[in-house]
Amino acid sequence: MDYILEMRNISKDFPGIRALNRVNLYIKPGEVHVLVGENGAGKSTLMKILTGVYSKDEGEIIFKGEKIDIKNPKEAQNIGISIIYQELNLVPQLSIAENIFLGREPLNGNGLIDWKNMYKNTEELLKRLNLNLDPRVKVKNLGIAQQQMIEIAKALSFKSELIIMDEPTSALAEKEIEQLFKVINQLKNSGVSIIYISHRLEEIKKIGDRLTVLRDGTYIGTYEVNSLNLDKIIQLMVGRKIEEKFPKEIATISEKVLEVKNINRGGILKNISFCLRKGEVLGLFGLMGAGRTELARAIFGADPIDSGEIYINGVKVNINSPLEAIKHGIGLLPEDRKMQGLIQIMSITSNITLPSLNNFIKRFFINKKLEKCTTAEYIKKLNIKTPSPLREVRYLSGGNQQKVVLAKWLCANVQVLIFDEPTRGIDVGAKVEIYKLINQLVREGKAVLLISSELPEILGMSDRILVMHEGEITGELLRQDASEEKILAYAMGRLKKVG
Amino acid sequence: MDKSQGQILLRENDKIINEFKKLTSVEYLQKYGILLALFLMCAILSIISPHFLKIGNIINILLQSSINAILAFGLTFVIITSGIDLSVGSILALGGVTMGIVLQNLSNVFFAILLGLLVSSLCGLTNGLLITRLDLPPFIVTLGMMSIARGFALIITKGYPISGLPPMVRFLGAGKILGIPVPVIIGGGIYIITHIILSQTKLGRYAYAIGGNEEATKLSGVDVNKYKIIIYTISGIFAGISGIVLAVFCKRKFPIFAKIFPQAPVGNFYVNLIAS
Ligand SMILES: Nc1ncnc2c1ncn2[C@@H]1O[C@H](COP(=O)(O)OP(=O)(O)OP(=O)(O)O)[C@@H](O)[C@H]1O
Ligand SMILES: [Mg+2]
Repeated sequence: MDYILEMRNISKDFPGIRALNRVNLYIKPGEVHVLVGENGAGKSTLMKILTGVYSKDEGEIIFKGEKIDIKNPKEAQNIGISIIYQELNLVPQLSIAENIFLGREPLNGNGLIDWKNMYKNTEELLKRLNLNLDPRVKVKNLGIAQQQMIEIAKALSFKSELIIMDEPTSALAEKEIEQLFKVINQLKNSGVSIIYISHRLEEIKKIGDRLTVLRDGTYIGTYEVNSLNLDKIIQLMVGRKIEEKFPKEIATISEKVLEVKNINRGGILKNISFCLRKGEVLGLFGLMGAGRTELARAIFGADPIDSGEIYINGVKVNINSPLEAIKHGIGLLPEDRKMQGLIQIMSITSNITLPSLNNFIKRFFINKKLEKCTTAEYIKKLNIKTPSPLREVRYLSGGNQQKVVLAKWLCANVQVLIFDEPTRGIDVGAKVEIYKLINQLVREGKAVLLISSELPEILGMSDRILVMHEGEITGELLRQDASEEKILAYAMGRLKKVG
Repeated sequence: MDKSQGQILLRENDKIINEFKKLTSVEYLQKYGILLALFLMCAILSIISPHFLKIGNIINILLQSSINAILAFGLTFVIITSGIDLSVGSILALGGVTMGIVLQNLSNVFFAILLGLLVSSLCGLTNGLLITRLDLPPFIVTLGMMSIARGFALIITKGYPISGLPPMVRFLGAGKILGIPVPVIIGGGIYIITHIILSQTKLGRYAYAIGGNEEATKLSGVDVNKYKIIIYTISGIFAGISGIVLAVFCKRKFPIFAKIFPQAPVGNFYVNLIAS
């Protein structure tokens, strides 16, 4: 048996869009097979066909030498295929253990749930991922990275022969990624095959054995990872060369637009002070749990602060809710697009205009034509892949959803933009587009606070860099003085600026 | 913004929209299933009974469902925000009874109706305030309001029926315009208003947004609490309107209402009709 899985000539049509057009995917036993392609190329769709979420329109699937026709995800699990979906699918109200064993809770002799066993199994799984969490903790109390790790634990618990990971690392920081890679290598050595989807291209070289490229729903080819360099992979993905990954332009930086002084919040934020100027991109780096998202939410009025002052254009303001923040010209692109950024069941149009709906009201009524025209513009500008502005957001690919969140704030025309991981799950080509957009924003005199876990992004795009460690700002660096080593030293608390 | 380009894009888009409006049979059933069931029922009934399809009968059916319908229109707002209002049945009773009592004592129709509406909207407002300010689950709050409003209705009538309404007000319940009963006309009017608010205004858009993802709506700068309060108040007012119509429709025996409508008729059918 050469291949554990063969997917041949798979096609899939969605209304208005051909998501897959005669795509092939061949997976060998015990390999890590990377699947790459731009946002909307059809990667997730292909995987959902494999696990029975969608039915295919054409083609055949052969698993372990047998032709199969999987009708639902449960069936896929039974024959040994498990998947970590791109979007988190946990039940917030339930505990970690309950989530992992949802629908297959171990029972004791009396037909009741065997909690002891369930907690013990969960603990073992968590240990394997080096997670120090209580299985009884409710998932809603976990951060997005931890939730992602729980999804991974869940997939491992099935003991499958083929595990699909759809962008497992987009929400993870270095440390967890390393741990995940260790686990992947263990799995690989025990003969498990892995299909790995990621937009973090540097990961491909680290763990991939072979690679399949999709572009616009068509099959480009399958290659040995060693035979390609990064530039070549990018070229295969986007069909053109990308000259510069961080096309930074320095804008004229003028007066202070946002200043925060001594913000404190219950041990999570300690005496935070900094300022942001017009035309400036201020990078904010920190490891997981450093308090970057909490800081962003505090400034945006989403979380209350214990003490501290916020000044907009030199005037002290009181911000107690996102509504007030937006009135003062602050916008926040949140880290978790599914739970905080988008209303999945509404159209692209309604999502984009939500913060600025007042601009589309004419005598009590929404001017739908203007609304549609405006969003059509943003769809074009950000290259959002959709057949119509009226399509519900949940039907978009992950990266395109992220672009909708971006468009929302561009449309609201705010002066200070806080971007919390803006390029999470976005393909290389689109990343460059977003960087160019940031350039354009600061050129127009807006100010950007860029929160990111990707050092190259922080280094490449910021004019100035703040580093946080355990709720404090430990370092501040100018663009020309910054280096990975220095930033990491501040981020781990090994170095601290004086004063 | 370049308008002309937007226009061209739109035209292209419209073509595609039309294309994907073609629903698959399953989606079709999901969307219009209830309506289909209704038509099927009508078809069967009209075969069984020759009287079913007569205009008089249809009007009768409309008349009898108009009170439920008004109630359900108000409830639709609440349900779209993924809330629930169990108190509408009792608010209906209180609204109707309040109007009746005022009429008996003052015989000023306008003032009586106004007061009935005021009381019912206050009930709705209280629901909204408790749900948002104290962060209580709608189920609990409106369950409480259900008992409170019903209790008040019984207290102010002392449990006796109210009788002797002036003819002017009876017109609202029993009168006809061009052969169509007034309650049906009121119900139709409220349907249109509901539809317009939900599909064309900020309030409607926000209601859907809150129902879809409250957290994301809040983070988009929508004063979620304010709109929730408005929506529960609307539910209260609509319940009051149906109470008043019912009061004059029944002519007497008000306290029975509290027993006729002990629970909220979660009018799925109406919800679907408006939401689609
Ligand atoms: N349920 C659906 N209904 C309609 N269209 C869909 C649906 N699911 C996906 N699509 C469309 O199919 C195309 C492929 O989407 P898919 O999610 O597979 O992309 P992807 O390669 O995973 O992208 P990303 O990197 O952004 O996650 C997109 O254009 C998307 O809009
Ligand atoms: Mg995807």
